[in-house]
Amino acid sequence: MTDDELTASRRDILKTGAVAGVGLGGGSGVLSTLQPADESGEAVDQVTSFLGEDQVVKTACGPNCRGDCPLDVFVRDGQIKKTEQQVPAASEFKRGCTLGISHVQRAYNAKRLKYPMKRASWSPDDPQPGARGEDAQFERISWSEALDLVAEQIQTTKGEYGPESVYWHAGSGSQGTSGYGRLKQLVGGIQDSFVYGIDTNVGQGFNRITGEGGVFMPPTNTVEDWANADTLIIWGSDIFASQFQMDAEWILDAKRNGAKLVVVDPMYTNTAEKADLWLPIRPGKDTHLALAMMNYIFENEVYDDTFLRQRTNAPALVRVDDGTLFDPTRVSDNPPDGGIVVMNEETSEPNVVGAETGGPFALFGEWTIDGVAVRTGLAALREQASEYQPADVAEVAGLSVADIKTAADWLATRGAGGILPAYSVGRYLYGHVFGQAYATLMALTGDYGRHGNVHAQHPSYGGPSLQTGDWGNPEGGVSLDTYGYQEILSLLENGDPVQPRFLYGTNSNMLGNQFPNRERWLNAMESLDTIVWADMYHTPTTQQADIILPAAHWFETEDVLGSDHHPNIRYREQAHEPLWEARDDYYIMAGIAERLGHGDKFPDDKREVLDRFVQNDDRLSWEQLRENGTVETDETPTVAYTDAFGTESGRITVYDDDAPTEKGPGLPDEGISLEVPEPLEARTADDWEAQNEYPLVFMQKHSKWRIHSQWANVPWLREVNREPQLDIHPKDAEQRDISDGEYVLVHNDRGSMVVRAKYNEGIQPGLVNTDQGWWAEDFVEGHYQDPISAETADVGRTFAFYDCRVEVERAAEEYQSNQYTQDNPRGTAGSASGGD
Amino acid sequence: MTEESRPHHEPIPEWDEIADEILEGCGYDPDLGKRMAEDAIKIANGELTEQEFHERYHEEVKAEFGTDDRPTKPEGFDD
Amino acid sequence: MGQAWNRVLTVGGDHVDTPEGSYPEDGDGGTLEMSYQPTACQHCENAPCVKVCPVNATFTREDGIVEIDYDKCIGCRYCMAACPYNARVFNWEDPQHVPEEGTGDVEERPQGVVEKCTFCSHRVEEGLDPSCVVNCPADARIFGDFDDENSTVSKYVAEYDTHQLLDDKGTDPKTYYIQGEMSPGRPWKGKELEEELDEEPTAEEPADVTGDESVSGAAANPTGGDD
Repeated sequence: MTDDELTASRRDILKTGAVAGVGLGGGSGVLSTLQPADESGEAVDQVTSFLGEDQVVKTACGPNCRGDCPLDVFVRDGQIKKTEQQVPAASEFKRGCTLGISHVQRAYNAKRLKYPMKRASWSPDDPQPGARGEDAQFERISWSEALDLVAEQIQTTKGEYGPESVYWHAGSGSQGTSGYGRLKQLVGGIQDSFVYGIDTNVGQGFNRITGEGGVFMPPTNTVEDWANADTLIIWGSDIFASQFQMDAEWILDAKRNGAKLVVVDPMYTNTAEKADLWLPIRPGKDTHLALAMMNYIFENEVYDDTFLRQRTNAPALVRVDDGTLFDPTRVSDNPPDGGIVVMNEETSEPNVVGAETGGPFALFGEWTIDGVAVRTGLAALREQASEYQPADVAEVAGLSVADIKTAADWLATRGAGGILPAYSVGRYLYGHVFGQAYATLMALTGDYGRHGNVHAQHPSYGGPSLQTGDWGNPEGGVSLDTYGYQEILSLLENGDPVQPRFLYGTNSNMLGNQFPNRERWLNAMESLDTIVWADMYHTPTTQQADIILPAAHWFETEDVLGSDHHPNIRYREQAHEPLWEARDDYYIMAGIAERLGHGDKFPDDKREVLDRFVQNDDRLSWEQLRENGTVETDETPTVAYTDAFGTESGRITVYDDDAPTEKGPGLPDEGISLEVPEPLEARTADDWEAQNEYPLVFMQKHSKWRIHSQWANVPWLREVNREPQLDIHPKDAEQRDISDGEYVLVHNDRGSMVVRAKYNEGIQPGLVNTDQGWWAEDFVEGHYQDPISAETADVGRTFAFYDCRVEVERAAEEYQSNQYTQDNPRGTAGSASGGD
Repeated sequence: MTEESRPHHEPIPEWDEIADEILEGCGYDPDLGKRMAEDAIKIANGELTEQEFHERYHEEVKAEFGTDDRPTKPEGFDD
Repeated sequence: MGQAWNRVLTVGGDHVDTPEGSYPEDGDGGTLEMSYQPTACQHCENAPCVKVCPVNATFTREDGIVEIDYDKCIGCRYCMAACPYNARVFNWEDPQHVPEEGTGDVEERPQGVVEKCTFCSHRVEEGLDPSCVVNCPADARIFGDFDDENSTVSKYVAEYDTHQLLDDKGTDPKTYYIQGEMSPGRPWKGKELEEELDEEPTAEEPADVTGDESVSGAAANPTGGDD
């Protein structure tokens, strides 16, 4: 379908052209094993409705979108026919998106891997890593040959180079009981982790001053409570496109109850369209804005002084000379643990107070105690905020002064407030400062521990974690050294501190999606003798492997799953056996385990493992799981942050006396210390060294058409979302003589890609975007990760996907002949099937 | 044309083109299709009765399709 | 593939999910606007498509649903020209499916016929809501019986400002678009789902359903009550 068929002018729907039937290439042929079981073939045509004739299988979706959606799968003649959203035990969490209901085309997809394969040019004795790449050929091997090879390579690598040369890599692409964690502990080696590396900025900054959460989104009131919010600020998230199944309806409930919705985003998104107030901020200016809002709150004295005294270290006395907290032992012989020194305004004497203690404590002022000049922590914060007058920030951030003040005023004065940041605001080198900034802002307004407070999108639910006993920590297992993704390049390129030689990868299409500076990774991986990769699909990443293992689709497995984001434990009934020779990951792991002498740790039948989980958990019974598909758990408190905070003082440290010093590109050599939020910028800064050469900021937002790189080849979705595009403001395009729909070269000194330009009035001039998740073969040239740096900052340690500048120009004439024709909506590459 | 007699159904400028595109190569008289389409909307508007519509096109439809099974046939209408 | 019974049109810029208007440079002066208009067969009371069909392949059922008898359809496409909503599509080629045998419950439509949304009459007959209603993640769609004044659709249409597409044409669609600042109904979670069907399909007569999918104003566009 073309855009013409999917857009309408406001007045008149007739203008949309007639829809002609679109013949769709690809997909056929591969499915020859799926002929109807009904041999006559005639009955099928005569039946006009199969309603009620399907077997309804209770199962669950499982990518990393945070939806954790229970699904009903309709099976007929042994084949999956369609999916519907399942009504779980906690029925208000019925959810599911366009992708969830398109699963039939994921299960029966031309890109499914069918058989174990080995790169033709690879052998244990002569691995030829240089021969990997897009042109590498693969040959079919048997499962026993494949598993023998994997086990042997693990053994030989360990023997020759030591255990640390065996490298286990996992992404977030699949939920399920695989035994992957168990196996790697039994085998040993090193492992990688999102922490740090991907999307670890915002949570990290929040955690630093609240002691709560980890490096991802912090705890928040659960969605049932959101209707009590009076102001919600969605900061950098297109919830209504890429998170809607979890969050959208609850936000709409809040709106219906009278909440004001503010959306901060440089792009006019589906979510901005729903806002009462949209702040079209310039990229990288989020901390500036938070400080300007604090400035308004200080100037107008609309902060929550009770909260600040009782639950933050705002009244803590700070030494003027060195910025440390005044030593409690100078005031009290026996100060409480983590106590802070405050100035009692009634007695004019300093007191030491512990967590969760309010009183008549000065919030501002300067004093001299024992000859030491002190002031309050809040005074330091106010001084910092005074540097960020709304009028100045409006200019820097491209906003209106009135809008900044309105947003601050709503948050501070309308009652319960919430800020829902996205990982996007952490996709700058120093994005963790925003985590600190919004945590501080919400402390000023007292928005913790009350009904209607929201601190994150897609709330986590603790209850529905599976109680798996020792499954994850087997007897005889070892703990593996863990390296953040951002450290892996150094391992691969320099052997620093260890040199991996063997890689087992799973649940991950990192080379097709989320590893920045892609070419650098591809080169670095030449230091690996053996790459084994398990996946459902022949991805750009499995194409780089030496041994490829075909994994089962979720619906082809039986499983019991916890849920992170709603209070239902989920059951997966098997819809049918894995197609071709695909296998449940569990049996892949078990097969390797057996060959390495750990067979006794993996029961022959996976159900035995699941049975242990069920028996181990009083809340579960097979009967309930099979009958209902889910079991409700309700242990997650609705309101978060009701107790002392996890910091040393038990208070939010609006003044972080123990602050780290951040160093990195664009910062002075000695670094910047972060006692209070300080806007730090690298490539988005107005004075960035290469900003004239590469004037456009490049981001890669999440769309509604895929979860990371999954669902990339679902024909239904590709009809609408055909190829990677570059959202560009017509003004920027016209300056470069680029017409709507022309192919453009997006480039910087690191790399480039060729994609089709898409005029978008809703993207900020100076900013361009390509939606995340396209596979390498979908690009005419290059990939969106090619121009992005893999550099990280000292404290942030997080890839900065949006901290990227590029220039865009019309691509050479040879690219303008469109490979994505009407008859071939999936592009020329779409016809390539699973490499068999 | 007075305000009262102006047809309520004013096709948008592109209508002609769209209808041509739809009917091109349909194997039947595209012009008849276009005229009937316009008049069918006039029935909705109350500018034309079903009977008038039926009678107006009956011969042409029969000639073109060999039959006229439109549901607009008035009671007692004689084929 | 490719036969869209139900398109969610972006009302805005030239591309899907893009707005029209100007970007607010330096914070001010922006006029960007965007909304969505799900557009399928409107199931008109005075359906022009029905009137032009020379072979009576397109017809209005007792319950008000406009349907096509594919055995009768001769593919003349007159109905497509007559439909002011562009709701109909023609099968230029043999149907292709992924997977090959198709996925759904509806009748196969051969090459050479016109097809369109049926309000899922096959589901409605079983007392189920249409698939688009059941699967809409935003619960922006409501289906029911206008003859029953206590039905949810009747209540919504009574309570909120609604409009029909191209209402000046007198086609009187049974699809209403709800305007106004509100969120939609809660998720559907009970009898409307197929999994709840009795093993034996119910033999009841079709309910006197005059359908309604209410949309745009409801969930897809709660703030956009101004179009």
